[in-house]
Amino acid sequence: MAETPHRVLRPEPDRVSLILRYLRAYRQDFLLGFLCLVATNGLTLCIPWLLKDAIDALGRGGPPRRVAYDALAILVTAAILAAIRIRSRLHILGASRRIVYDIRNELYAHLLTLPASFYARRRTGEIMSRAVNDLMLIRSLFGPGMLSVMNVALMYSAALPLMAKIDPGLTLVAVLPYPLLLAGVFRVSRRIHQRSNAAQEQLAELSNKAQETLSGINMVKAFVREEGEAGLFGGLSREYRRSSLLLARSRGLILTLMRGLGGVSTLAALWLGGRHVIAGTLTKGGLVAFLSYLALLADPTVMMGWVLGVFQRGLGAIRRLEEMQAIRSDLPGDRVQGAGPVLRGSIAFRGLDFSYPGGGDETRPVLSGVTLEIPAGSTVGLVGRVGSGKSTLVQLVAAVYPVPDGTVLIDGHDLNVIPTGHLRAHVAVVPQETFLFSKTIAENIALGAPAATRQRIEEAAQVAQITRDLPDLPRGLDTLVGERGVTLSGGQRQRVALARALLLDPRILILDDALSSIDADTEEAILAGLRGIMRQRTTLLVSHRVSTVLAADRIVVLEDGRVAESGTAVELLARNGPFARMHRQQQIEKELEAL
Amino acid sequence: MSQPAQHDEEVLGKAYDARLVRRMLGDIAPESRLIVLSVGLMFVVMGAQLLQPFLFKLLIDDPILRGDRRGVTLLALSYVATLVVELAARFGQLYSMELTGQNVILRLRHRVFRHLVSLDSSFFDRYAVGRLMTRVTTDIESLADLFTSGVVSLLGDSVKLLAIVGILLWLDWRLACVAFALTPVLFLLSAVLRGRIRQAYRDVRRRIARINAYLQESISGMLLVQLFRREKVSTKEFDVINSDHRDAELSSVVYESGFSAIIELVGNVAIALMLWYGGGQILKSALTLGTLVAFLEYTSRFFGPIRDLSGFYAVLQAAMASLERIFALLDERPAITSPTTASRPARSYGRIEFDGVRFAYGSGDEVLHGISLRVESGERVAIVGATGSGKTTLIKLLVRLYDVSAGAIRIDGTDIRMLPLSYLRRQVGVVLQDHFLFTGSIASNIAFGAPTLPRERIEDAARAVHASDFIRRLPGDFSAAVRERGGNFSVGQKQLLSFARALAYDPAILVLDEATSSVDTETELLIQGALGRLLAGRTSLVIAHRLSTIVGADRILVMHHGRIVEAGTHRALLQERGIYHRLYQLQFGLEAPGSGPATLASPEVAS
Repeated sequence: MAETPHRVLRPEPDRVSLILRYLRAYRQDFLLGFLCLVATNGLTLCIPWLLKDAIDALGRGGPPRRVAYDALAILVTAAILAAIRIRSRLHILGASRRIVYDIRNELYAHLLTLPASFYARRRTGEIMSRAVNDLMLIRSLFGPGMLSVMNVALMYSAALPLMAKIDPGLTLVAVLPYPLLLAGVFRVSRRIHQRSNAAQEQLAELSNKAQETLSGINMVKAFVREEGEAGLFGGLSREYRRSSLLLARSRGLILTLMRGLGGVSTLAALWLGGRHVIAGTLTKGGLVAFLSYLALLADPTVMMGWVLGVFQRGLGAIRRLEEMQAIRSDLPGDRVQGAGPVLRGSIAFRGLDFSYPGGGDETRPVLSGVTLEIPAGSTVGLVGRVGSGKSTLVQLVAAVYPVPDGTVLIDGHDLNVIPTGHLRAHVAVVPQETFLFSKTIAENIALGAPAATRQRIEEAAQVAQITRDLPDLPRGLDTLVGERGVTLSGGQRQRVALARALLLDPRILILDDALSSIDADTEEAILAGLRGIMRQRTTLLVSHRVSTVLAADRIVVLEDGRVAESGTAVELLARNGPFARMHRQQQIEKELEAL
Repeated sequence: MSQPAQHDEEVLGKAYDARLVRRMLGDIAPESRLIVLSVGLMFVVMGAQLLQPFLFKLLIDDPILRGDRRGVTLLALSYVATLVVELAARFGQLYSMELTGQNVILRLRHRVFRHLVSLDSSFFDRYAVGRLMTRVTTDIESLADLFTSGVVSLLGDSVKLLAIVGILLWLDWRLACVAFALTPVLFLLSAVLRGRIRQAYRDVRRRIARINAYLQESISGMLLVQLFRREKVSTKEFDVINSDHRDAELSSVVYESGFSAIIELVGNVAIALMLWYGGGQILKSALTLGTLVAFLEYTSRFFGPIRDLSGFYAVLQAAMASLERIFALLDERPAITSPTTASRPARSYGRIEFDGVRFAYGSGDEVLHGISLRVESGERVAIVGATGSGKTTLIKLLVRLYDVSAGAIRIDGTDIRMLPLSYLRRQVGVVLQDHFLFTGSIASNIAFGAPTLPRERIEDAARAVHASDFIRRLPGDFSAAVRERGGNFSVGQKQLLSFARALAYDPAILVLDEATSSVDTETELLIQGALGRLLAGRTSLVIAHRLSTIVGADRILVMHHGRIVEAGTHRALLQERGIYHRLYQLQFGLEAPGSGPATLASPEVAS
């Protein structure tokens, strides 16, 4: 993630404070969870104590009642323990799920405020990874992580005094290996983390190779490279195997280490404790109970190493999320407060220079010195080659990218002082690339006006000539589109997008090459229907098809980001410039098509 | 993969399928020695582990009772011995099993990949690369899981259970029966709760998938969401699926918490029962205290394996589903293969003949309607035509990426379907429009089709197509890294590199689909010069977009709607005033012939 000038970072985000913030927000859950844990730990420790009592009684040869009572007490304790343990987990793990839900909602709300320049630079996968993978890590931090931290602390503070009460010397000797254990676990678990990252990277490289070979399969076959590619892939597979085995070695090591050190504790207790029993300073039951306590401590201690890793990764995830949350929109209009002026729809470009933000030094200007006056209610056709800047120009009217102050004016107001939301309420865009959501056609049409009546949706569909396709769609306007619904043709999709814009009833209507996939006859019908609508509002008509713009009040030809010529169709054809050339070529194309 | 591929990722079937397992055994067999070693070591681990509580019993019953300090030390030392043996064996066991798993999946992964690259282009038209990738990655990984955790722990758990059962029975069969009394309860509870947990996890997965899908869609359509001021509605929609997911998570928490607490409860109940019954026996002197202590120790190790065993089912189920998909892929057969009786012609002349060739992609509409053409040895033929007239298809048919539907293609008089595939593709060099470069170095890309080519020849090839100037300027020149798809090179550079690649391949026939992308004038001149070098001395079929290429051809064929409609020289065709004439006007405007480096792409004819 390279630093970019327009990105504003908050002062070094304090991650610990974020943890505290959520702990505070869910303090009731965490507190109750903690209290439950106190109880469960206490009860867990009761059981060996009862066991010790029973065994000591047995060692003395009675009374039998005592043993039976102890057994009963264990039974009751266990039942209560189970009930409280469930509660403790419900509180803490439940809180972690709610925290993740909160953060995910916050993140999404934030994503909705980020501008196009942000999405142009970030891959979808990267953003998704924040919202999915990083949140998993945060969930582990607040859930199992918190749970374990509390457990370990409680376990130690309860077990150690009890053990000391049985035999202080023995306790000291038995617990000595634990700090060592903890340090070892922490070290190895860091290495495991590194190695597991390395293995993941190897796996990623492996799948990149597969992706590349399969995408370029025709070249692979044409150059008889099947064996060679399989060989390279085999090499990467072996690399991956090697790093997986390294990882396995560390994992094996940590298991062995922990079990070994735990064993050393037991050994110390066994050997020294045995001698203490013989010396009479320790009862047999005391030794058994002591060994049980040791066993109880072994697991939480091992857990601690794991918990450290969970916190480390969780904090990393929090940092990445904080970074994303710190990014702010680069649109000046997003920072303007207030209602905004009444807009009628005249547009003026005054010496507009534009290049895409955040592209570094190599960015060439997309638009240079564009000056145009577009009166409210007029229709302007924009034509030019791919990359001539026509799409960019119309997108700027909808405040998709930031523009220099005073270069774009709507009804005489600088675009940068109009609140973006207010502006967009008056501008409707049908973009070049049609994007439909996995919803019904009607819902897609009502995208910008969720409260629109059915009648208005149908009217918009009528003008966009969707109605003629309805008989072919299983549920008419209520047909689901997208991945889980029907696949619409390019032309059908464009018409839905058009209806969507019409329903907004905008002051400024922008059709960004929006009819390109629609056949000439349907286009004719659409334009005829649109004529009445276009008369009442400013329309910007971008097209690669000369026929689409012929009827416009004015046609503007862009070349390399500059206005090359402009005028009515009749004037431009008479000039015999770029527009006339395009017109001729498209005539020939039409002839060829007919042959 | 013969069934419709839409939903095959989510299908979970049986946990055990004998047919699949039998096929898998072939891949496992070479590792049998490692497996035997691993199982052997596992027994050692278990032996050592089971010995330890027994040592406790001895310690308490014997030396302590007699006040024998040396006995205590001796037993402590034997404990050390069992510990060391256990640890060493455990490490060895884990590692050897990991090794087994890694070896098996290495072999299988390689096999799947080799099989994939042997499949036809039409197969790749049908299946998205992403889905195929899953076979080589995720599916294979889930088999690895089976090995590294599943199989051995299954075996280990069963053996451990049996051993504990045996020892308990041997120690005191009546007390053992008391301990076992709770096993059926545990099994039942475990199975029921696991079922619930699985269901809950499935819900969680389904709902997180919905979140993912919604996010993905929102991010892709973010501009629209914003332009149409849908932020509020969208926030609400997201909140609905987000809270759905949270609720599913919460109910999974309930079952999970219940599960672990109940397992613990059962263990404690068992302890109480044994204490109650065993205590009575001790007081009747039918049992020693040490035996009871050992019993309590063993029982605590008894419930873990039962819990794990019930968890193994899910791993097995996932692995079987993956195996099913992998084998289905391995069962795909390529339709385009070398004929069994093919022999390599002694030498090639580079004569091409299309004879009434018809072709349709899959079950689609016919795109070539009876193409007949001959290219003589050493002749240079240019093909021109509008987009979609079927030009590129000709190239794909010539190297048998697809087979003709009717008619025949012959090289030096032999039907290409009668030639060994590798021979055919060795004779025909292909330069496709998108100049696909592969990750690696400049040198490895030039020597793509001739990996054994010495460095000087690679450099010669680069020099001949004027690529060496820019290569020399790169850090590490010929060793400079090429990133994915050549993303770090300009369009012009990629063209020159793909020319160098074709030249290094040195085929008798060269088929070339000229790029339509426009480049700056200087690069354009470089490319024209390079093209001359590339085509010199071989039969060539060029889908031409450059005026210079067209004019320099011996013959021009005009394709229109899947047919060859005109043929001749540039001058003759222009005079015909037919389609060629119109195409010429279209591509190069109305300017006089030969005026500058115009290309098809320069005027805007396509969107």
